[in-house]
Amino acid sequence: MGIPKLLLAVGLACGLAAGMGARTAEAKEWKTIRFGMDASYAPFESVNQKGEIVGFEVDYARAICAKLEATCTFQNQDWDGIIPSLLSNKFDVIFSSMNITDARKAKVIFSDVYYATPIVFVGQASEKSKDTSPAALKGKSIGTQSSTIHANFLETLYPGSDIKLYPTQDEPNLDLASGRIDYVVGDSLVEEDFVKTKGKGCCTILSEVQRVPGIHGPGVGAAFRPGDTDLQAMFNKAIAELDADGTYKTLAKKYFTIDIRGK
Amino acid sequence: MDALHGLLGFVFNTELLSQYGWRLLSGVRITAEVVLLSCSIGFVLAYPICRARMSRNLPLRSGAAGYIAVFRGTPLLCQLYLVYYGAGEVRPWLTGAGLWWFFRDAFYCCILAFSLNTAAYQAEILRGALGSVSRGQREAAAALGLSPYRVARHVVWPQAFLAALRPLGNELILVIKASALAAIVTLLDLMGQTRLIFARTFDFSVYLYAALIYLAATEGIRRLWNRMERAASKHVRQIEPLKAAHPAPPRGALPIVSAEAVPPG
Repeated sequence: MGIPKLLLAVGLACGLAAGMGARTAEAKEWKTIRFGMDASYAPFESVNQKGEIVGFEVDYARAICAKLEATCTFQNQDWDGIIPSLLSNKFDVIFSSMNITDARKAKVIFSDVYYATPIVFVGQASEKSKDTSPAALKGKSIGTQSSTIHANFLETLYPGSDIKLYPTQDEPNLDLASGRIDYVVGDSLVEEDFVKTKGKGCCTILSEVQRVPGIHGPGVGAAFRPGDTDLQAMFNKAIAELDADGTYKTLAKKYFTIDIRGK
Repeated sequence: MDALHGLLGFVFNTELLSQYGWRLLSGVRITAEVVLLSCSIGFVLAYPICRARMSRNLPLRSGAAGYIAVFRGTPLLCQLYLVYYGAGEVRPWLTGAGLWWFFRDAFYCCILAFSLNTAAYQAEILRGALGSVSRGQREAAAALGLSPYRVARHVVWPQAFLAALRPLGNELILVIKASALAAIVTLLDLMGQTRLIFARTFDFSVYLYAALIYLAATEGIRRLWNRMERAASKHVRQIEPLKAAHPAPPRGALPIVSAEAVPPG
């Protein structure tokens, strides 16, 4: 195959792919709502031994669906591809501990915040210093999940450290336990769960990360396609109702000892 | 017109390239290092494995056959996870053996997993190539009184090399594509950088650029291999016209050359 022919073939393939991406929005009744989640984030969402997705966000999503009188389905979706999958109509809402950030707002629209938990640094149990400032962590390796606010935070504020990015939050935790990396940054609830179970003895929570407004955003919300403003409004109403009638508190109590609602 | 403009903006995204181009390039460097190192190490390992596989010694032969079966029969992703996270699980033992520095590093883990994997494939390619040289060739050379070394050096290997060349090129292309797996154990190779840039920009064009870079690499190798094959098969083409006068010997004394390398006519 000559170069001109090859270029033509590549061009055609690209055009075809672009054509398939175009999709027209249409008004829907929302009898069923499909939820996309990256179920590697216990206790918010994880896969149990029967293969079902369970966790706080699943229970909360069911409560929202009950308010909206819609049927819920749940799909497990790899985190890195979760926004593209939403945009290509694989499901209708991302309900997967997604923090509301400006960069994401350029692609999707968000509901109101439904939880906000502290973000923490985890380190080796032998680590005596609680100092996790960029200066103290210079030359150290820090792991976290890629495509997250934590990754963005580390890359922006810790240029002197060796930042390792993993597909899920389970993997940096594993590498911290094996001593391959020095620190992990993650959500406090996920990391507390980790230092109590798999990371028992090896690892300890060192400090809380001060939220940087431009990076961390106000908290976690549900994400929708830009055209689905009706669904966004329905969710906001349901979130407010579940706060008012105490359902949120009851559900949260099942999973957490601290208040995760935020403001 | 808007759609065309959008498509052009997607393909020629100068903003993305000026901001993140160097990141893609550093990814290309890592990918090249991983591929070249593991393919070379794999090639060095492949020959002894191939000899062991063809050996008359049963334990040696079955050991090599088992090695090949395991590495060809399981996903590379699985092998990489076993090396990388498996090493993490047995860290005290590895530290005791003085090997932890090696397994601590994602780059070394990738090189190890990829080398072991491609060695199994390359060993089978070499075995096939050696098997394609007919027994008669060796016997004839031996009958001329050539030493076993000369038989191997001047009769068997030139023919086996030609038969192995194209499959080895294919294997190199497969390793280039498989090297994208390195990104999942934190190595910032071309795919790792691509995912990182995408996570920051949510801009799909970056995947297009990555695909084009991979395509350029594999296409370059394909062309290089065509040339190498043409150079290595000169003697075969020179005797081609003779074939009409003298029908080919029954058991394929001539090495099998892929259709692309045979000149038209």
